[in-house]
Amino acid sequence: MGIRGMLIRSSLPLLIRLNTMRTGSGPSLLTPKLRKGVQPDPSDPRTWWMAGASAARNPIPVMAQMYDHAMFLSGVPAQKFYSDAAIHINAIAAVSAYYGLDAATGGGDTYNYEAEALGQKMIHSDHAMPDIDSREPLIRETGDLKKVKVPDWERAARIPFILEVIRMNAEMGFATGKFSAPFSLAVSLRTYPKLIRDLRKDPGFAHDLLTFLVDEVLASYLKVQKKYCGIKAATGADAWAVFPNLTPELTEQWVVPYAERLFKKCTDFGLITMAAGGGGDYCEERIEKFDKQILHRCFAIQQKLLLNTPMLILGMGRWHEYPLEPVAEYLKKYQDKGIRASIMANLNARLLRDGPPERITAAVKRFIKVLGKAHNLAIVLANIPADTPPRHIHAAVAATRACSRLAPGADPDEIAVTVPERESFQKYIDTMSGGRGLPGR
Amino acid sequence: MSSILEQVKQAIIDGDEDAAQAHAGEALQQGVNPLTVVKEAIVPGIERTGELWKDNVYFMPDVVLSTEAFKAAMNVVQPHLAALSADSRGRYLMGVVAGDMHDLGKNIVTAMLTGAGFEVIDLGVDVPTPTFIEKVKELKPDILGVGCYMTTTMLELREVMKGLNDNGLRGGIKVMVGGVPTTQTFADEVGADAWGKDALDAVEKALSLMEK
Repeated sequence: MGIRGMLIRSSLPLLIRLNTMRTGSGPSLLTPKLRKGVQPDPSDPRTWWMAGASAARNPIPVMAQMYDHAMFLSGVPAQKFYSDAAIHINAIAAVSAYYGLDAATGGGDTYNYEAEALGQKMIHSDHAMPDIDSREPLIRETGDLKKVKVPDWERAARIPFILEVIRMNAEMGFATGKFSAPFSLAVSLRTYPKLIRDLRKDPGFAHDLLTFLVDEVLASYLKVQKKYCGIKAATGADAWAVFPNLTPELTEQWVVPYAERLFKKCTDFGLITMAAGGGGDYCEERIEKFDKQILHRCFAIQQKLLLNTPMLILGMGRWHEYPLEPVAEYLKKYQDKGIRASIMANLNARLLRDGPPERITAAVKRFIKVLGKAHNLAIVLANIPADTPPRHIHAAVAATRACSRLAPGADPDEIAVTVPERESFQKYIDTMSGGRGLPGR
Repeated sequence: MSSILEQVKQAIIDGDEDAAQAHAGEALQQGVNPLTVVKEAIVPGIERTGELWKDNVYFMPDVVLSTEAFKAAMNVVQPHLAALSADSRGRYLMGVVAGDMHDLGKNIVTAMLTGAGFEVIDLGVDVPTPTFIEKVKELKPDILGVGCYMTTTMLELREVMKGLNDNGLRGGIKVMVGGVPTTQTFADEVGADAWGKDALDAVEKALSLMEK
């Protein structure tokens, strides 16, 4: 057994949670098991969420990436939401409780923290997530790489904020670190056009950059995350490495080797890393250009990045419009061996915003109908847009709950979904807080 | 087509910024009319890139490199094209809303629109609403294209539309929106005239708006 095998065995609890989203029984990826750090407190939104969280009982859990939506709904100014960990977590927990989601994790602008700490210029506004100032890349010229210094991770820029967010996530049972994967971090510091040009015209520099980011920057940062937050695993976000931002060939060449390199580096101090957040994702925008061969190549890459576990992430693409049969076809290799793969099935952000609820419930039903019988599903609300009507999110949750315990052979399309008539978020907060409002707001 | 024009075109298709710049300069040195360089080499180059993208032969990295090569060639030729605007299909004012620094999509759309014959004035990223209004008053474009790439910043578009209405400018201009989080539904909600799903779609919609 190689080092990877030993590490996987030694981190069995995590991987059990990753791989046993079993229908009807067993622990879940989203089961909030470790709540030792949070004392029940009726004024604490984390308690509101925990009181309602029931992932262990929900065969198909629902989770969300919703930072901008939580900020918008809770009315917290961006500069506070993206810099004050307690307020950030309170808003996320309150919104997760309101929707009855099975997970509540903070994180924010995952792609920015390391870049900002390294000295990349940012734009901070009161209304939006901090954004990298692409007019002034930190590594404008290749020679600038030598000037970049690894910061003091416990103090630099907003690193203390994200460390505290990850630590609070762990208190709620989600003990997974977060980082910007090497390729996306390179884009943040260099800009996408310049990095793509480097790959083609100056590959030596591109390798130097990515090696520096893995060996010097991310390894040292993740060591601090592990120490401060008590995590055993961390996932890297890599939206710049999705198709068609990168072709499968470029992803194989420039993303996979550095994910593996980071994995090896971090095993030295007992941390498992996975570039599970985007690498190998398929996001073709024109439905007429959907290509099964490319999709399957993306899946193959994704599985490498997911340490070859039987998992698949149907990420940010137009999954409500893509055919799902090619997904089932790809997963048949597991089905034939009697293995139920774990699928994180994302509902597209624009679908969630635009609705209508009937279209959202139809998308949930289709996931369950085509993929839910042979495999274990989690429904993920993909990066919920800021001004998404709450009724659309209630519809997604209601559809999942209604269709997740079907008898064998039952057809989700036959199930009537009733979207609950809910009070506004503000009224919910007033009720839960006894009129005091969201703590810290 | 002469050899040098073919080289300019091919450099753009290949996404070779340095070669595009060098060959465009050589073409001018050889006495080729600047407008000919644009119409017979630079524009056909970026158009071919668009076709290859549409056919799933080219992907984002190829398109971005072609866009950079296009810009490099245009930067060489543009100073010699004082009269280009007289020959344009229309004036297109382009910018990304305040608080939003994403310029990748905007740059591709700008290149494609220029290739399609528009006189494009690019205000860049992080453009405050008052600047959009001021520039519309000053430059009197046929179309205002507003890009937004975050779900929070796209809400700024309502302010841009309000500014146009409050200043009595809305009737004299067409407004297009685009960017990853935007949709036709959103464009309808804010009262835009068209939504560009991607760069090629934006060009088709812009041409269509000019015919109305």
